[in-house]
Amino acid sequence: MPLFYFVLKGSRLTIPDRDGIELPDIEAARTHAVVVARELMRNRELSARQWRMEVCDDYLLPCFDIVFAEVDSTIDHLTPRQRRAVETMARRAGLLQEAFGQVQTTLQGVRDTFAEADRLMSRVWPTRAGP
Amino acid sequence: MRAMTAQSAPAVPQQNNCLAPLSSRALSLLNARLVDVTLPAGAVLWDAGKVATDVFFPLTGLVSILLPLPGGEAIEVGSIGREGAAAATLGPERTEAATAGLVLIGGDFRKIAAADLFAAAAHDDDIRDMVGRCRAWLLMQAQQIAACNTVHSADKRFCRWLLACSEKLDATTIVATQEQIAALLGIRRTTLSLVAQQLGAQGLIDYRRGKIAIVDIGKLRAAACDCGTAIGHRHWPFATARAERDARRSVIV
Repeated sequence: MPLFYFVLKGSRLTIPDRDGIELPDIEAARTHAVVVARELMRNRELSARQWRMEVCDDYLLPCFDIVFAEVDSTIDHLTPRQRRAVETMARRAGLLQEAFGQVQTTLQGVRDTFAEADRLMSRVWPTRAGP
Repeated sequence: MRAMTAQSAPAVPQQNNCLAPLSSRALSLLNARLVDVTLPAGAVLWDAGKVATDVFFPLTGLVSILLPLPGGEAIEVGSIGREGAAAATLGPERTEAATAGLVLIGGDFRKIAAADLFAAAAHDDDIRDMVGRCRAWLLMQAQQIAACNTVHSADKRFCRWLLACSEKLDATTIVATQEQIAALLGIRRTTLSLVAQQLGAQGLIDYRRGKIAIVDIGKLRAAACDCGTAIGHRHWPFATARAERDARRSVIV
């Protein structure tokens, strides 16, 4: 059976699925993703609605994704138009959060690089180190 | 089932917190009937649908009380460690058990036949009181967990479960597979894995190769639902008994 990985993208944080799970086909993977998304979102729908689950194959290539709002049963009472609006907003807000997260990660990387460069420079030219 | 273990460094001999405070008269009634046993993780203490005959007082292990569902799952409705007594009903009636008792974390236990315990309870107020408190403790947990499962999110429930295990075992590291914990909480293994990694990224726990280490217990408490406090160590059977004794003493003084 093929292996699928369920990667959670939410709250500026990407949580990888380290183990994956064997499922018969992509439809079973979709069903599993919906169940997991609902379990993760249950009783915290408002904050988790913009989260996204990316389902990847055993080469870690994305197969499809699910925005949690799309499977949120607490907004079933909305009209189709209202629901689409909520789903679209959730997807955009989620992507924005992910972008913020990536910027934060990049900035942290830059900070770490500068700190490492300072450390190396202070070894090479000890007298020039510091203010 | 893969073994679950708790890692801690007990500084004093382990004891059950319900047996330890009993009077010497009460203990003399029980001691001849109590048997020390060491049970591995996965041992079934009683099965749902059958009449249970023994009562277990954990010294170092942890018993999970499971409610089997028609789909084949079994959800945890309570757990008993050194703070209480584990049995199907904790009452003198001999009815079929609604739950199953599974040793979640292997260890040392003291076992007594339910008939012997209730016979002793008929002759000693301390034992009767202790049994009543243990029964109330089981009921209290079941009620709180039922509410928790209904209104709280998976991450908060996992934190609550972890804190309860830590308190009852007096351990900060628990070895358990994701499959086992997910089954107890009634969620998929994938869900638990993602929740655990989220908590790991936030610096609350370190979950590697099936070993959960609590890194920051303060943050873990903050992340858990209030149910953990509602059924925390202040509400353990011996703690309520001690509080009532203290209250009686203060009235007398």
